[in-house]
Amino acid sequence: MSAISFAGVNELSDYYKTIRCLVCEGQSIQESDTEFAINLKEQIQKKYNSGMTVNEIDLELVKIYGEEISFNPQKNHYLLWGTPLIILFIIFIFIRNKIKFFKKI
Amino acid sequence: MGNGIVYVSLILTVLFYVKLLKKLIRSEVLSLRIIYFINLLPFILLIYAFSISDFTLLNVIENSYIDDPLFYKVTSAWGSHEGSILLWVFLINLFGIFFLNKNHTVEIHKNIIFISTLFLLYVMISSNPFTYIEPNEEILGLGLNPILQHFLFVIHPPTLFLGYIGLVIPFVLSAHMLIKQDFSEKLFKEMLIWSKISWFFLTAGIVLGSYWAYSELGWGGWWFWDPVENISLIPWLLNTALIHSLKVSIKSNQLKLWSLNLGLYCFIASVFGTFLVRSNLIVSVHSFATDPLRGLFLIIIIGYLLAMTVRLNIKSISNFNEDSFNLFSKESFLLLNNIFFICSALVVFIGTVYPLFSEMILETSVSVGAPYYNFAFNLLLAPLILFMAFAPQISWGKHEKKDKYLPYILVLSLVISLVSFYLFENFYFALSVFITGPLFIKSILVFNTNVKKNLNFYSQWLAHLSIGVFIIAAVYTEQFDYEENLLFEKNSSNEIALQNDKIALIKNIKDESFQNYQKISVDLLISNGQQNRQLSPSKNIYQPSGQVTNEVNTTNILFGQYYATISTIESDQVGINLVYKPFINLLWLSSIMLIFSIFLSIVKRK
Repeated sequence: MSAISFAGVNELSDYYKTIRCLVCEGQSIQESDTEFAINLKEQIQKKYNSGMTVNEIDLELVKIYGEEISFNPQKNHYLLWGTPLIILFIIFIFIRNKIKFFKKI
Repeated sequence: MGNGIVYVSLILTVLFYVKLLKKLIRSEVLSLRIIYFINLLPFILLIYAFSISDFTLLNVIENSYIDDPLFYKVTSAWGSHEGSILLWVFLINLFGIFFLNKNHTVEIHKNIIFISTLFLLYVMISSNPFTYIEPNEEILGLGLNPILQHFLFVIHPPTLFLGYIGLVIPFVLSAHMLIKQDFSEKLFKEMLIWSKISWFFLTAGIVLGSYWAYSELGWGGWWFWDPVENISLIPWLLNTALIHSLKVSIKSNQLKLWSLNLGLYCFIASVFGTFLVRSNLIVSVHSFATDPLRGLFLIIIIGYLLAMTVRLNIKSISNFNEDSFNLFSKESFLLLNNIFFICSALVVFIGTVYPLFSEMILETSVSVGAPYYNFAFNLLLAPLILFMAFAPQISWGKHEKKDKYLPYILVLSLVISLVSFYLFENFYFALSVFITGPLFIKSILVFNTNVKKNLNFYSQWLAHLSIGVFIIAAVYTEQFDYEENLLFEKNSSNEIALQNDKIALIKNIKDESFQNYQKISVDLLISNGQQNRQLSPSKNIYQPSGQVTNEVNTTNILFGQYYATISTIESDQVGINLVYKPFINLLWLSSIMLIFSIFLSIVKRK
């Protein structure tokens, strides 16, 4: 008798945290005991054991269930992913301008 | 009865506004006190109705059960949507009463009562908890959601609400200052105290909620970037910015309009949070039944508050000189702090409402979760924490003295960070060591300088230090936690070897009955040959709903913690989910330090 342990147990449980349980409200499949979550976890585990990488599994899940399945939004949501970068850039410009301003006087 | 009191309060408020109440009661302060007091009553009545299980009220039937312990019957009063909005009204008035002892300006209190009346109307129109139902002997009540039956749940929502509503005082003070164009230092100081009080409750409420989720929801996480957590974080971030910018307003007479606006937006952010949760626009674990009218009403309240804010700004913008100060001064660093905090709040806001935007405009539904926020917060908070190490010791006005240690400190923390990368082989942990390093070094070095070490200094020192400890603990715990699913089968060995060379074994399985639930628990031993540690996770089956909850059980090893839940339990097999969280207790400890630090600075003033 042994624990269900296999290579990458932590990689998978981290990955489960990014997959949304579609029948629960706002939980990931890692955190849910619903049939949906348990089935999906088994499927992912099988795919992982058959040699698929987490990224490949992710693409396939998005194809089947839609973008909603992943808590990690696709990178083509430019407004979402871009805002923090733009904000940081603005802060940088702001500081640089202040320094210039003070050097003049 | 409850309805009656609400009507009396509404009538009195109207009378007060049209100045008729003056004829009955001479003193305006006294009549304010009476209105506040009457507004407290509906919620007290609701608690009473819950405690005696008064099943003539629909709300009591829906949210409590005759055999629930008294403690949870009382809790049920704010377990429902109606009850929590009434609690909101109750707390606004409670703050009003305390504020009345400090400040007798009638105009300010008029605003508080106006806001409280708006919410009272909201209760009456769309979420009345006093709906009457014909008495029926057979009704036993539907019961409070079992996952809410937890000691922490009793204190978490009221604490968080105290934080949200505490922001009403800075809000009315800002509005008052802008209306009267009175920008005296005294009022700014008053605002600082109240925003600190609110910050105390907000922080405590968020930490309690996080701890509740950790110990009750049963999957070993402590922060989920759930929309409801996010919207409690927005006022927290803004309030943190407010506390820092008020210091500039008081000490060097600058950033005044900035602070006042922050004061206004903090409260708007907390009302917006309530709106988002209550209207069910965004799906979350905390959602209640949806009702478009509720959402609409809260939109109107927020719209009104926003319109008022804009109008006040337009009116008074000409009365302010442009702020100007030296680049190397405390003022400019505090401004920088503000920019980072406000931007973080903005990022959380965008992440929270983006799914809504995407669904309406792009017509695809997305879920924004931890990966996004981790990315955004790494970007924005890393520089902030670095600045935090040096900013407190920069002087007001103009900073002349160059910090000759600065390069050494940076190099030293880079070295420590590289060493930790070599030892632990984890990029994120090494990064967090690098950005918190200067803070720790500075926190020690400061005792060698001649900075005045009064209570104020210690509260700030402790607050900043605990943020550093928190970051280290959080990153380490998240990067090095591990999880195992143990499956024990009947007729085979009751021992399983763990990844860390320890052994887990099952001792026995118990089945007990309690007042309103049945408890099945498993005794699990974790052993390294000499020492045993026992864990007893359980599954509780609640009456009357038959809902099953997973009860977590934990055991501590210094700062680390084993965390066990039952995943499956059947006649022939038992599954246990075992998580090890290496620094989780340090994380809670640093949170307590943070709350204590603000407590110090509030107490100091009295």
